[in-house]
Amino acid sequence: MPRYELQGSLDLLVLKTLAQREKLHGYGIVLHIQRVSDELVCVEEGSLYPALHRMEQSGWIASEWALTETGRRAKYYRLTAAGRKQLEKAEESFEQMVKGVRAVLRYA
Amino acid sequence: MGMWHRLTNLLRRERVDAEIDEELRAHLEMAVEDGTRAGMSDEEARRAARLRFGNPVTMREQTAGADVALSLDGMWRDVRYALRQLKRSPGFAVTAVLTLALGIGATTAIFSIVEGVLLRPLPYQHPERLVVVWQSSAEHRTTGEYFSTYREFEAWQQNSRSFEKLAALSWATGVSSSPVLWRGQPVDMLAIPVSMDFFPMLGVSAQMGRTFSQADLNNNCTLVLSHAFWQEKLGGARDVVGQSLSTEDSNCLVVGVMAKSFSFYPAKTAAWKLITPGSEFAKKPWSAMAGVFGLLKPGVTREAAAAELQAIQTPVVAEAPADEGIFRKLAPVVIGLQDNFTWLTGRNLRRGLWLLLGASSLILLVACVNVGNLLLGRSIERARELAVRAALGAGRARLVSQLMAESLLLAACGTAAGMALAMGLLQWFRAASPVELPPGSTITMDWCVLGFTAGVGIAALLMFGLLPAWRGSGTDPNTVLKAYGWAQGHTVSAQRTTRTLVVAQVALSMLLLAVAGLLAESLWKLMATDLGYRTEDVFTAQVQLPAHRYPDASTRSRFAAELTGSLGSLPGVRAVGLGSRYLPMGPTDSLSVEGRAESKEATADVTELDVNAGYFAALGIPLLQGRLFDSGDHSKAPEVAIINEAAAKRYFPGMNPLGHSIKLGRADDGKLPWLTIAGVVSNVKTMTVFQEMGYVETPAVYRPIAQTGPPSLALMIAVNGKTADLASEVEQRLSAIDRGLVLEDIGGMQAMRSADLSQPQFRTMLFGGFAMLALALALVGLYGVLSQMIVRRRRDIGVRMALGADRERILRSIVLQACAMTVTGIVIGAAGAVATMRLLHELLYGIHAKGAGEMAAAGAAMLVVTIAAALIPARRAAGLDPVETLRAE
Repeated sequence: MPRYELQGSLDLLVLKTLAQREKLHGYGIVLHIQRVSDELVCVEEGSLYPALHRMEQSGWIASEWALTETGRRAKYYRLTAAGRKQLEKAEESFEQMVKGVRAVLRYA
Repeated sequence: MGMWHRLTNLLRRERVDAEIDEELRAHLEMAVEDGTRAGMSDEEARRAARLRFGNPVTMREQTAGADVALSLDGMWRDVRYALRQLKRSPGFAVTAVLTLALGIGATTAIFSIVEGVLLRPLPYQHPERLVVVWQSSAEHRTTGEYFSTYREFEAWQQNSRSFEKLAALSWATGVSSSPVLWRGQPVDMLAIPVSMDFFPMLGVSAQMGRTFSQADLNNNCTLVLSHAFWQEKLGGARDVVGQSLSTEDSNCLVVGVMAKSFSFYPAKTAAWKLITPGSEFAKKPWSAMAGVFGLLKPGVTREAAAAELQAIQTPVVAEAPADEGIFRKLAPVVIGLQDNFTWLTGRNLRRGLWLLLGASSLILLVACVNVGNLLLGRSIERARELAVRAALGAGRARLVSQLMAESLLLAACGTAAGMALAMGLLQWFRAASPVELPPGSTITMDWCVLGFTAGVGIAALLMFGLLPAWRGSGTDPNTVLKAYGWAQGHTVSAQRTTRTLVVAQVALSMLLLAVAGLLAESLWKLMATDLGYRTEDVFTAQVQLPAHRYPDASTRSRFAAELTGSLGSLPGVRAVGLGSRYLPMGPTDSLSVEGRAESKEATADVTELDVNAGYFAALGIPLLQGRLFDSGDHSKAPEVAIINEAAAKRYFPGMNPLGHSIKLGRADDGKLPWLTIAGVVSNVKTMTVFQEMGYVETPAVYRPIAQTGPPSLALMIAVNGKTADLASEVEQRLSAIDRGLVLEDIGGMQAMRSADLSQPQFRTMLFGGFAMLALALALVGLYGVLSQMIVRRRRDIGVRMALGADRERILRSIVLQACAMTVTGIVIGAAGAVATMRLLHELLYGIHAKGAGEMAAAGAAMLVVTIAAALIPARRAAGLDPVETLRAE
């Protein structure tokens, strides 16, 4: 699949995750997505961090440093108001794309 | 995050990097923790996590890359990196910068000069409507040969409707420097007579005082001074307006001083003197010659104006008194002032400058090609490095931006150096002033041109620097890494490009070298031509005899005789020559032979020169037949003349001219005497305004001063040894005879000769410089290409040597390659030179057979030099130890 679309999907997943889990670090996001999708979706760390930084630049998520349960310092992300709006938009366009693909597949 | 964070990130690149590092490390550690909790050993867990993680360096780069603002910081890094890379290969960097600087600097300087001289409009009002009117015969219809008479000017002024203003300005014979008294001290002043409308026509006014007004027409002599004369000779006196400068016969009132920026032809004008109804011009209008200038009315074409002037002129000329010898077959020609000035100040100045422009553009081309070639070679060398970087994760954008930083750095240095060079060259040109420039033209740096040439240079740099990188970064780094050392894919085409570029460089250099050689040879031949008279060890100067003390021919010839006697007694003097001018130049009179029918029209075929007995001896002009003048040829004796070979051939072909009678004018002109030919002398070569690179031998008629008594005398004293100290002695002898006389134009004859040669010399020197430059650039290019070729084929050569090929063969093969490129280039360059010969023919002299010999010589010289240049890298290649090279791979 072309990179852009995939990137869009990754953004969507991350935004959704943060909508549901309030505050998470990068590793946590990976684990969450893996678990919730039943190992169907595996996020590459190589693509995750650039995406996180990009989304941070765009103002959709905000970050802060905090301590984990094990006392380790990690960077936590949370959703911003702009991010929430972006999430709605992304969800909608994803739905549309799925509808369209399904329609084509169903056409006999 | 916002703008603020982006900016602060810019400043704290390291901090951001560290943050990202920490974040990624935390991720890794957490994964390891989970792994160990799941039961793996610490080592296994770490390995598993690392595998999943991928390359941390790449990750960090990509993460940081997502930060837009950091890209700026990235650029600064690239620049620092580029600087380091360039420092490691100083030869390449210096060569590239120098080459670029030379190309940009030379071209900008030349363009600026050409613009200042040829393209800037004249500093007068309405320059496009300003014209000059000459009289011309059929042969020189476009350039104009003669002044008009003042009578014709008067007629035009009265009747012409094509002009807003018409003015007359004269620098014909009879107008020369004369001494004036300023506060009791004699000062030399060249006063140019002008008519009333001169300054209004140009739309200029005086800086101090005023220009002419109607009231001045009643005065004998009214002057407007030039700024330079006022500053230098009158010491910038503030009260000069209203004062008088007294000449021998009148007091001249100074009414104004012009601004420093104003000037007009001739450049040496010290003052402008009003032509009044009482002056010689108005009293004898048919004898007075003047240049006519005008301001056309808007919408009037030059051809229309010329036709109108002709129509006015024809009936007026018909009234001309027969004895004035007016040439009736001339037609007025109207030429734009701008064009005419460049023609006046330097006959072939235009053509020469365009030629130089072409040459410097070629230099720029060669420089760009050179730099491009260097970059191409360098990029081939660095293909491996680029491949490694790509493998490490650098994206195409990053690679390209790093290479661009290098190219831009070189471009910046090259441009800065080029600008400095251009300024220096312009400064030198302004100081040395090898050519007299049209009035008011200033040479300043043309920034547009600098921008253009710099742009060309940068474009070349970027193209040659980035193109291979672009293609290189697109390929799979694997192939490049594996294939390094062998010619592959894009490197083959790059090599071919390199070779073509070297051939192009050699061709351009050959072209310039051939042209420079032809110009140099022409100049040398021109300078070496025997002129038929002596120029060394001759003291020359001029003396004017003021009319009121020397009113007639007998007083003047008596003075001449006295002077000759006095000067002859000076120590070391071999012969004293006097003449109405230095040399017989420019046909001005017609000739009639007694007993022959002549044409109805007066034509200008011969020139007259009045000389004393010692003239021919002083200038070393040999006698061919008959005798020279002697004391027997005095005013009571029969009138005689000596003619030169050219006149003898023309009027007495195959006959003996001695004893025949000739007259300098129409045969029926009673006022002119019949002259008996007493001798024939050898010709003298002089230059005319129409042909810069060539001599003419004008038919000349010499008459004895004792019989003619001319009002101005040129001195030519042949001495044994140096002429330097003679000036004061001659002045002393002169004052002893008449205290009011001033010795002028010292060294004048030689100065004339230098002035004639100055432009060809300047041109040749410049072209020679260009040719040397082009040659140097071509050599550098060749050397660079060969060196790079050898480095690339190191392995190849190593294998060959290991297999038994001996040094000589390696050397020979490399040199042969160089020769192949060179010879191709030479042939192309020679063809180009032959093609341009047609453009050059006015600038050449004494070149035969299309200069084939010279081309061959230039080609041979280039070949020898390039082989020498090729030997150095070839030697190095042959000196390589095969084991070393193979191991190094």
